[in-house]
Amino acid sequence: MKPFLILLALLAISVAIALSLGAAPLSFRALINGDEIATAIFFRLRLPRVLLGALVGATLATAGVTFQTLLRNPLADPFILGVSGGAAAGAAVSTALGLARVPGLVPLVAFAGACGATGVVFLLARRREHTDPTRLLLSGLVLNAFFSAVILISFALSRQSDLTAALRWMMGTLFGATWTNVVLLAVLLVAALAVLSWIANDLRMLVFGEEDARSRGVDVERIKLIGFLAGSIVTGAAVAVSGIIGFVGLLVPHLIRLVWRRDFRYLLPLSALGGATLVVLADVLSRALVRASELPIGAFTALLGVPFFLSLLRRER
Amino acid sequence: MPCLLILACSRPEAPRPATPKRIITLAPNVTEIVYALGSGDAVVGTDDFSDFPPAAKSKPKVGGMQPSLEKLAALKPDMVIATTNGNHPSLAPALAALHVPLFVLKTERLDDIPREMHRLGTALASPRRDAAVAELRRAIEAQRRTRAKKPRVLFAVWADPLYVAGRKTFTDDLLILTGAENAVPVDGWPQYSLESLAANPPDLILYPDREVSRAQVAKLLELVHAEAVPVDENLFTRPGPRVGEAAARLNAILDGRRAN
Repeated sequence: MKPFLILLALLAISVAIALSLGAAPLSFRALINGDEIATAIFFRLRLPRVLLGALVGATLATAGVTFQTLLRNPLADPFILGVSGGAAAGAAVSTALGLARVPGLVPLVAFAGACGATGVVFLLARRREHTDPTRLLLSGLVLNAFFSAVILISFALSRQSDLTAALRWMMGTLFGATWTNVVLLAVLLVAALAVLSWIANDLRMLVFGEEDARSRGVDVERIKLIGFLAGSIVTGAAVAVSGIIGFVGLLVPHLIRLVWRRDFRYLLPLSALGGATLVVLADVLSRALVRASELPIGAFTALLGVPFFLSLLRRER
Repeated sequence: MPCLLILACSRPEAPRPATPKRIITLAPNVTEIVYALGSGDAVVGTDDFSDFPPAAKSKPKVGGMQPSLEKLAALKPDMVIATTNGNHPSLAPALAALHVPLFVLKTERLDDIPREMHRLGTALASPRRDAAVAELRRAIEAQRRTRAKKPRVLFAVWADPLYVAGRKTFTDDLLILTGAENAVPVDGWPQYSLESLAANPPDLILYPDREVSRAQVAKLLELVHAEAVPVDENLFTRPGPRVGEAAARLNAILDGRRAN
C-alpha cells in the first residue's frame, strides 16, 4: 500500500505545480473572483492540458508494462513495437496529402496507423499457433524502419508550411488539449485498466514462461491477444492526442520494478501513476522554460527520466 | 580532353560578364525583386514556389527547399540569387564547384528590402534600379499611419500548434508601419502558447487563408474576442516589392474596423 500512497502524493504535487505554473501569470484570487481571462486560462487551457498530460503518461506506461509482461522482454514498449511509428506515419502521410487543415482528421488517421501497425506486427510474428516474442520484437524493429522511410518521404513531399503540422506528431506536444480529448482518453484508459486487471493474474503467470503458464491452465494466446489489443488501442489514442512522447512506456515500468515490485498486479497501477507524474512534470518544463512559447515535451520525459533511471541502475549493481 | 584544357587555360582571361544574362532565382521574393528591377527577361529559372509576377510561373523550375543542382547547372546560369534564410547550407559550396556566382540577399526586415534591391540592382546593372527603389520607398512611406488607439494584431502563420509572427520580423514591421501593434510580446516566429494568447488578447487575428482553415481560427476565437480576417499569405510573408500593397491591404482592414 505504501508505494501507492507515495506515487499518489507525487502525482498530486506534480499536478499542483503544473496548475500553478504556465506561460500566463495567473493569480488564484483573480480566478476565485471570476476574472474572465483568468477563468479561460485555467479552465479551458491549463486544467485540461494537465489532465491530458497525466492521462497520456498513465496510458503510455500502462501499454509499456503490458507489452513488457506479454513479451517477457524488458525492451518492449509501444515505440519499439512500431505502434507509435505507425501512428506517426499515418499522421505524416495525411499531412503530405494536404489534409492537415481538416480538424480531427489527422488524429483519426494516426489512431488507425497505430492499430494497423499492431495488427501487422502481430501477424508477422505469428507462427502456426503461437506468437514468438523474439520475432515480435524483430518485426516491430523492421516495421519501424519502414515507417521512418514513409515519414521521411512524406516530409520531403510536404509543403514547407505543412511541415509544422507533421513535426507536431514527431516531437509530441500537449498543445491544444481539449476536454473532449481528456474525456475520450480517460474512458479508454479506465476500460483498458479494467480489462488488464481482469487478466492480470494470467498475465502474471507469463513471467515463468509460456509453457509454464499453459500448464497452469492459462489460455496464453487469448491473453496475448487481449493484452495487445488493449495496449495498442490506448497507445493509438494517446499518440493521436499528443503525438509521440518517448521513453515513458520503457522507463516508468522499469523504475517501478527497480524500486518496488515485479508482480504485474502491482506493477500495472503503479506504472500508470508513475507515467502520469513523469509526463505532467515534463510538460511543466516544456511550458515554463521559454517565455510565451513551448519546447518539445518528449525531450523532457527523457531528460527527467534517464538520469534517474541510470542512478537507480547503478545502485542496483 | 583538349577542349577541357583550352577551357581551363582560357578561364583566367575570360572577362566576367558585366550584366548577368542568365539568372536563376531561388526564392519567391527574390523573383519578385528581380522582375521589379526590370531584369525579368534574364531569368532562366526559378524555385518551385515563385508564382509572381505571372510571367515567372512559366519559367523552368529548379526545385523547392532543396533545389536540384543538375537542373540548375543544365540551365547554364551566370548568376544564382538566394536569400540568407531558407536555402540549403550545401548550396554555396556546390555552386562554387560549378563556378556559378551566388548572390545572397538578406531580406528579413522591412528596411532590408529597398537596400537589398539597390544592391542587387547594382549587381545586375539595372537601368531601372534607382526608379524601382524610389518607387518602393514611396509605396512604403505612403502607408505610414499613426492611430490614436493602436489595434493589437496577431498574425497566425499556422494554427495547430499555433505559430505566429513575433516582434522583430518583417510582418511585425508592417504592423508598426500601419500604426498597429503586435499582440505577440516575443521575438521571431515562435510556437505560441495558448495561455499567452489568452493573456494578451488581440483585437484582430490575421491568418493566411490557404494555410489555416476557418475552423481552426474558430477554435482560437473561443478563447479571445477578436475579429479574424483571412489574408493572402504571399503578400504578407514575402519581403519583396509588393510590401506597399500588403501595407495598403492592412490599412484597409484596420480602417474598416474603426468604421464599424
